[in-house]
This record gives sequence, C-alpha cells and structure tokens, in this order.
Amino acid sequence: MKKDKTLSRRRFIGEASCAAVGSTALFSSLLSLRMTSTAAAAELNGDDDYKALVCLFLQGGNDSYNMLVPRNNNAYAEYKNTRNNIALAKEDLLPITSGGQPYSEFGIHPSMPELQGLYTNNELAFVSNVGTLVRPTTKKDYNNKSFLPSGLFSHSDQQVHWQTSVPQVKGSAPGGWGGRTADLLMAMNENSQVSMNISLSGVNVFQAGNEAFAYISGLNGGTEMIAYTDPFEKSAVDSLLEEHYKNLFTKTFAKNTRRFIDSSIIFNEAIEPIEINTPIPPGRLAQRFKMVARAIAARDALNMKRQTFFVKAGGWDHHSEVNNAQIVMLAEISKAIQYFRDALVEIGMEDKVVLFTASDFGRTLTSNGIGSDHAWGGNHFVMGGPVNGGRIFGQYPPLVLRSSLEVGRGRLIPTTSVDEYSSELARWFGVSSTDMETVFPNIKNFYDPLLITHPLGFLS
Amino acid sequence: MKCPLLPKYLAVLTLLLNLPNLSSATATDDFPEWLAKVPGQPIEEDPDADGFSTFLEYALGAEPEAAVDPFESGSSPIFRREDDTTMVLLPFPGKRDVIYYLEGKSDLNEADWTILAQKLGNTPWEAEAEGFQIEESSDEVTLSFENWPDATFLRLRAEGDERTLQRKALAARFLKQATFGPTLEEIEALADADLDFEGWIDEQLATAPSLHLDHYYSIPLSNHIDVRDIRGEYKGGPATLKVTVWWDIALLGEDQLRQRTAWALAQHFVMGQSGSKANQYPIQWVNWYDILVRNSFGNFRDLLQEVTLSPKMGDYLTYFNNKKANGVQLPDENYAREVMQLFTIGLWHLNNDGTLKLDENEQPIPTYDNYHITELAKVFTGLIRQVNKRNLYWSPNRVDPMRENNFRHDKTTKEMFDGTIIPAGRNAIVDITHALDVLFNHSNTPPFVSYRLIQRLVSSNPSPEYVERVANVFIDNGEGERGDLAAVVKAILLDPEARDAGYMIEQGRGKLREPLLKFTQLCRAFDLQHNEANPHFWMQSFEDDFGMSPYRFPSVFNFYLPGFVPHGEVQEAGLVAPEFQILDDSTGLRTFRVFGLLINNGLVGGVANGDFPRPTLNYMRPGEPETLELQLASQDSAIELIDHLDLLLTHQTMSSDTKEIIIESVEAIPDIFPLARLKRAILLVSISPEFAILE
Repeated sequence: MKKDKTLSRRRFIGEASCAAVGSTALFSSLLSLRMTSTAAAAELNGDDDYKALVCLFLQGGNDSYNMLVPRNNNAYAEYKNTRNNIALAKEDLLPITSGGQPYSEFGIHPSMPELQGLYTNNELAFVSNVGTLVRPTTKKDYNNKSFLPSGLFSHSDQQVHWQTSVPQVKGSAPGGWGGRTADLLMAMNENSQVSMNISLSGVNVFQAGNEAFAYISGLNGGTEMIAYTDPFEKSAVDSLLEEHYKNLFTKTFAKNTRRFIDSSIIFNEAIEPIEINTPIPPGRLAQRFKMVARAIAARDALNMKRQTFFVKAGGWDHHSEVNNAQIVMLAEISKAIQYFRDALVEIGMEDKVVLFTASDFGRTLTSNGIGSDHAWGGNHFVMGGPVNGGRIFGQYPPLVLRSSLEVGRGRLIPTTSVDEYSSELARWFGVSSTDMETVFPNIKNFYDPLLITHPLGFLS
Repeated sequence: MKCPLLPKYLAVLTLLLNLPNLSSATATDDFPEWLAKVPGQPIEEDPDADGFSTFLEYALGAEPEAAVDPFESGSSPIFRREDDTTMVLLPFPGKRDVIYYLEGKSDLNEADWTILAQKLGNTPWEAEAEGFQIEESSDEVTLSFENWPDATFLRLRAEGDERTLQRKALAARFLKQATFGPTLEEIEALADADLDFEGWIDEQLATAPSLHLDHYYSIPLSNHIDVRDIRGEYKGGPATLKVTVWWDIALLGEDQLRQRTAWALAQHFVMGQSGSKANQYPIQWVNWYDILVRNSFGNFRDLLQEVTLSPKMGDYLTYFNNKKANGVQLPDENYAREVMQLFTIGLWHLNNDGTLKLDENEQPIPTYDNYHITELAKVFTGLIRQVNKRNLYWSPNRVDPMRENNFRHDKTTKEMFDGTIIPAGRNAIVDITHALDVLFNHSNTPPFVSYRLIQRLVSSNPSPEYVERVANVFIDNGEGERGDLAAVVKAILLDPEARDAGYMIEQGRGKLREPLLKFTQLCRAFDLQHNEANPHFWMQSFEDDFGMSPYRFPSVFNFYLPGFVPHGEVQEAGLVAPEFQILDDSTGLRTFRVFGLLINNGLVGGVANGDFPRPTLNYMRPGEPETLELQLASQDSAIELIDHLDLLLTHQTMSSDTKEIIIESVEAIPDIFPLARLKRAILLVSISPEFAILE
C-alpha cells in the first residue's frame, strides 16, 4: 500500500470519532497539526535555547498519598483514619511546608530525603491530585457516567490516557502529547538525524506523534549491528533492507531495522566521548538517567534544540505489601532524582531541563488489608532549575471518605487534569498558546491557552 | 525483430483486455475440491473444447463453471510488445498447488522448451533465464525481456504440484505456526503425508505431555546451588532452573503443539517473575507452568479454575489471603479486575466475531463498571495456602491449589456485572466457582479468547469471520462441549485463513514473529543438541535482547498489548501488530547479535549461562557426518544452499532479490570454506525481513 497521508488522516478521524464524546474540536485541531508545524518552528526562531523534558513514568500506579502526606494535626488524623493500617507514622514523615493549600504542614515519605532536600532548595515542586479528565468532573458526573475517561481504573487504559491526554478516546491512536509536541517542534532540530524523542524504556505512547517517534536507547546507548563488521555482510544487510517489500509487516520491519541501525550509529558517535563523573547510586533507574544526561550533554553533536526523554520505573501496582515495597522503591526514585539533578549540574544544564512524573493513577485511600487498589487522582512532582520549587500546586484534597471528591474506597476525582499539568510543561517547552489545543484537544475545558497566566504556575 | 509466434491458446488471449477478477468463492480451493465443483463432472481433459484443459483453467483462477463454458477460462496472460521489449502480463496471484512456467524456444522444430521464469503457487515469479526483468505490483506482474534471442515462441505451462517444493513450503509454514520451529524431517514428513494437517494435529493431541515438573526432577543439580531437606529431597535451586526446563522442553519436546499452545496461554494467563515472590524456588514455577501444559488441550473452564486457585497467581495478583471487609479495610480488587479484563470477557461487549458491540450512539459498551469490581472482589476472599508439606516443598506451600478459610470469606450477596447474584452465606470456593462459571459462559469469552489465541499462533489481524468460526468452536466443539481448547487450537490452525496460501500474498496478513520464536526456530532447524557433559540448555534471560523471555513478563499485560499499532504503514492501513511493541532500536539490533552468537558459536556467553561444554548446532559438532547444509555450502554455487534455507527458515517467502543478495555475499567466501559460507548464509537469512514475518 502506498503511503497516503490524506487517507491515513481520514482513517484516523473515522476511528476516533466513534469513540469520542462530542468534541469536534479534537479532530479539527489534530488535523491542523501539520499545517501549524512550520509556523510553530518559525515562531520559535528567536527562542533557540536548548530545553529538555524528561518524563518519569511510575508504571503500575504509585500510591502517592503515601509519598506526600499531610502533617497538619487534623488533616493527618483524617489521613490516618482513612488509610488505617497502611498509613505512615507521622513522626517518620520528612517535614516540608507549602503555601497555597488549606494548611501548610506536609511530609514526604521517609525514604525520600533527597526529594525533601530538593524541595527545600526550591528545585522541586509537587502537584497534587492530578488525573485523567475529559473536562472538570463532579461526583454527580461520575455517578451519571458523563464525560468520564474510557476504561477508568484500568492499568492499560489509564497508562495510555496519561500519555495521550485524550482520555475519551480508547487506545493509543491519537498519539502521545510528547509526540504531538515533537511534531510541532521537530523543525527546530533541523539537522538532526536521530529522533528528538529518546526513550530509555522502550516503545511508548507518550513520544509517538503523527510524524514523531522515539529513538530507543539501552543503558549504554545504541547497539552495534552484528553483521556490520564485515564489509560483505554489511553490504548484504544494507541491500536486504532497501528492498521493496509488499507485505506491510515485512516492509515495516525492514524500514524500522534500517532506522535502528542508522540512529544507533549516530547516537553512539555523539554520546561516546561524554562522561558523567557524578557518583551513581545503585539501580537501573539511575543508569537510565545517566544516559539521559549524556544525551543532553551530546545535544550539539546530535543537533538538538529540543529533546524529550521517557524513563519508566515499573512495579508500582501494590495491591499488597505497599508499605514495605515503597520503602525500597521510593528510596531508589529519590536517590536517582538527586543523581540526575547532580549530573545536570555537572554538565551545566540544570536550568534547561524539567523532569516530571506520571503514573497510571493514584490508589485507593482505604486498605485492602496489606495494600491499596486502583484509583484515580494522585500526587506528582516536577524537578529542575526552571521549576518554582518548594510548593505544592493544585489542590491537596481532604483524605476522607464520602467527600465531594470521593467515589468509593477513597478513590478521588482529580482536581487537576493531566491536560493542565502537561500543558504547563508543553508551554515551557515551546508550544505556543495558539498550538496548545493541537497538542491538548481538551485544554479549553480546563483553561484558556490564550491567557497570560499559567494553568498551575509551577513553571511560570 | 521477429514477431513471436505464440502457441494457439496464448495468441488468442492477447485480445482479452478486460481482466476478470479472481473469484472469491473458490479462490482458496485446491484442485481436487475445485474439480469436484465442476458442473456435470465431465471426464474429458477439455470438456468445453476452448483449448484450455480443465486443469489449466483452474490454474488461471477460473470458476469451476468455466471448465464447461467455452467463453470463460480464468485470468489469462497477456503478451504485448512495446518497443523492443516483450511483456507478459500475468494478472493473477496463482493457485497454491500449481507451479507456473513461462517457457520459450526459438524454433518450433526444437524439441525442448527453455524455462524463462517460474512461479511456485502464489509466491512471486522468479527469473530463470538471464536478461529477464520481473516487476510485480499488487495486481499484476510484468515479465519483460529485451531481445531475448530464443523467445520466438512463448508458452505458459502449469503443473500440478504433487511432491513439489511448494508443498513443502506449506508444510513449513504450518509448522512455524504450530511448533517452536520445523526441522527438515518434519517438513518432509508432513509434505509426504499430502499435507494432512489435521492428521498431524491429531497425532500431537495424542502425544504424551512433557510435564515441566517431571523434567525438573530429572535434572541433577550437583553443580548448582542446591537446597535439600534433611532427607536429601531436592527443594530449591537457582531461579534459572525453571527457565532451563522451559528451554529443554521447548526445543526437544515431542509434544510441540501442546508446548506451543501452552506458551500462547502463558501470554494470556500471565504470571511472571517481575512482581512475584520466591523466584528461588523453581518447583513452584514449573508447577504453575504445568497448569498451562496439562490444560492446553483440555477445557478452558478447568484451566480458569486451576489458574484461579493457583497459589502463584494468588500471590501475583494479590488475592491470596484476601479478607472480607473490616472497617475501612476492603477486599483487594486486583484479581476481580484482571480475571474479567484480561482472562475472560474483556472491557467491552463483543459480537461473536470479536468486533465491538455499539450502543444507539455508536459507542462501545463497557462490560462492567467499578461497582462490579468491588462486588467481585468480595468473591475472591478467603483463599489461603495449603498446609506446608515439609518433605516435598520449601515452606510456604506455593505448589498445591489454595484452600478456603471461610472466616475470611465475604459471605454477603454479591452482584456480578451481568446481574447474576452470588447468594449470601456460601463458602469461598462455591462462590468462586459460581463466578467463574458466569464469566466462562458469557458470550464475550469465546471471541475474546479466540482472537487472542489466533494472534499468538497465526495472524495479528484475523478477519471477523475467522474469529467467529473459532469462537463457534469454543462455544461448541461439535459434541456440545464449550471451551474445548484442543478443538479451538485445531480450528485456529485448520481455518482457511491460516492454511490457504492465498492469504499469504495479501499485504496485511500474517504477523511479526516473536523474536523468541525466531530463536527457537534457528535452534531446532539446525538441531541444537545437548552434549553428555552438559545435557541442558542453560539459556540466559533474553529480556533485554528480545524484549521477552520465558517467565519474564513485565506485568500481567504481557510483553505487548493485542491492540498495539506501530507507527507508519501498518497504522495507516488500520491494522494492529502487537509484537512490534517490543521491537525497538535496542531489541531490534540486540536480537541479531544473539542470533549471530548462536549461529557462529552455539550456546556461548551472551546466549547461555555457565561454564559448560557448549551445546552446539549440527553443522559445528565435531565428529558427526557432514550435514546437508554443509554439503550444499561446499558447492561452487550457493543457489541450492539458499533455496534450501529459504524452505527451512522462510517457507519460500524470500524474494528473488533477497536470495540474490545473500547468494552474492555467500559466494564471496571461497567454497573451500563451507562452514564460513554456511554461517554467513544463515546469519543473513536470520536478519532478512522475510524471516521476521510469518506470512
């Protein structure tokens, strides 16, 4: 089949419209993507500073109401009462304070002292009760099932929705918001031969756009192509991959393999000279961040003005052993974040990079005995020089049952949408206010992108 | 330039410009079935006396009626002259049991025709004579040649394919779907048995299962971490042992179809090392895997019950020791969710053909909402472990099915997603059995499970008709039994969409093969064998290389999702391709590196663990007779070698370009180094896109 852009768009619209809930804007804006891409790049010509966005995806659904906990007496008592045997002891919490919330005393999980340090140093902010939403949603909406994300509380669906930010459409067809952002901004990396989206954790939805895709790096960069050491074999492989195949899968396989080989060679040449000397903590996560830092340091060799990175840490589905598991896993996160920050300082890029977390969903406030189950809104953090640190953004919710936000078992309706959270990141990254709806088709349900004020303010 | 004199029947055809479409009704019949549909069953070779024998009309894609209709004779070739080029347009894909020859000669008095090009069934045309150009598009083929001196007379000849290579290719293709990879002997045996696929399946159904536990007990562990009790009974072992058992059986087990099915089921009922406990006790894992092996040809309902009561699944999806509500502590919802979403009914109401049911607003209809999850979570309460058997298993008991502790079971009524009420006051296993019955008997389960198994074995994008045919067998195996997995597997593999090679040439058919299965195929094709000093395959984890490995599931969502859509043309065609989810810059190239290590050196570091004398492939084993492949590799021309590998590894789907490229590269090594030639040939085939795709 011949590559036919017009046809593919029409198909996409046809597919999506059967699953979408009354949002013609969604489709017209996704359609306009290509047209605006060049304009967006032109608009950004004056702004040629390098920027990188790093997505840390906590796969499985982090129990984030034990990552960020109230320490105010009343609020802690509510927390303790609701979470019961999975509540953390107040005296173990690492204290922080925040303005902009109903009370100021909060605590970070005891195994995250590095996070506490970064927060206190105003390099890290939290955003509270974030989740997938089509539009602002009330308990009544929930009970009427109106305008809810499809596949609510399901891992596979919510992971995808966090990445597409189009939760009314089932599946990954709309692409990720990182990918759509890259579609708009990739022209800034004119001479680059490797994708501006780099994943340390395999293929993902976040970085897939209409045109954009991810380059997947291993912990040590790209892999060398086995047959390339022998000139006869190399030329045979090159010919094999150049052939015109008829079967679509065969064709796609050949095309991908060609790209893998070329990208890996270019990527390796760029990163090989770069060393990071910051002492590295144990664990694969820190190693992934090390490669991210090397790729950022290699930005000139790679001809990059904008890069996104995708890093996944798995194993957060703590239906059981949530407390024991978090002690170990949050500690690894905290140490790895500190390491990444120090590595950025080492390469002098701490003011050019913003890291943010994403996760399937928050978890039930109530315990199932030894763990917690799938829920909705959860707490997240953003880290980096440009971040207005030392504050909790969004609204930290009351952790009580039967509130206006609670829809059973301590599942909280998000008070901040993924759209608001992500559009603030995209705005900093260079997506113009006029393109915002292209990247976030639902954004006007939450925020007028033409306003000068920021959706949340953590990057203002 | 002489004007070619064409044989009578071909000359007539130059006038036919409207190309008839290939019929759909009989396009997939082989000749015997097609012949049986010819009206009146004439016995003459050319009953309508139109100059086309009945067999030739069949070969040209005609309807059976055309055999007795002098004005119809299928899609015939068109010969045309343009400038100095003679073109032959062949607007039909070819029947799978026919070999087509384009032949020429310069003088009618010559006895022999020269073969200019040939085509095996519906595979692409291949040039035989020099100076031939072949261009194939999706709807026509142009064979052209410039001033070919001997082509004064041309003819198209069709031959039946009795005992031909084409038959072997179909056998190889089937065995790639149904096993961990065919050997030449198996291909030839199936081809010689007139492609009796059903007979082969029946034989496999009757083959004794290779139980992983039995094999595990047979492995002596003197040189491994060994955990024994005071009576010397073996209890533990390295985590890799369960993997070794898997590899030994996958590569050498006689019950290939059963093990292949179990592997497909392992990707449906996912229970993996990541997020699990007790990785150091392989006995628990092989016991789990045997649930899949034993029930592969059993009933889905029994399998569902065993899976649900498995203490490994109980740990993995955290419903082991799940307790009834106590204040603000409520039952764990994990299993309640996944047993519906992933194991039985799925998220959306389905038609029997696997397509989504839509409501009046054209929206898909959810099967359940969160209320039903919290209700079903109450059902899966009160399961605890069996008592420890100190002489058999390391404590605690993660081997025997869980038992009930009804003090912890929620005995209130529960409402299921379809309105079924699980009555109050009953014990845990009664409730669970009731709930699983409801899931098993729901109309979603047959198409849901069928679609996923077809995706694993045959095709990423089965047609709704294919799904429905298999789902119908799931509903009723013909003897009134629902959920008969042997019948389901048989229906999947014998379906026209799996068997007819006509489907091979459609652009969106088939699937990207799991890299693991490409690897097992290489091992089996070249007879990877143990040696006395090391009678086991101590394979390493291929998680980082292939993106998949036995027991290394990243989560209960398997290595890839059934609806994954890769960027590009597959996406534009509206198709899915799950296995592309694990194909990336890293795995894409690391997979080839593992293949290279295996092909060049056998089970060395990077492929297998441990400091053992290496099991090797047949062509590198010292002291054994020269293999067929080595003999072929020592010939001056590499053509026969590549033809052979094309059958063995790619069931003759390699394009003539691919073959030429590999032949040239192989022949760059002098034929006095057959081993080096062979290794290069296999490596290049293993990299070729044709090897990656199961058409």
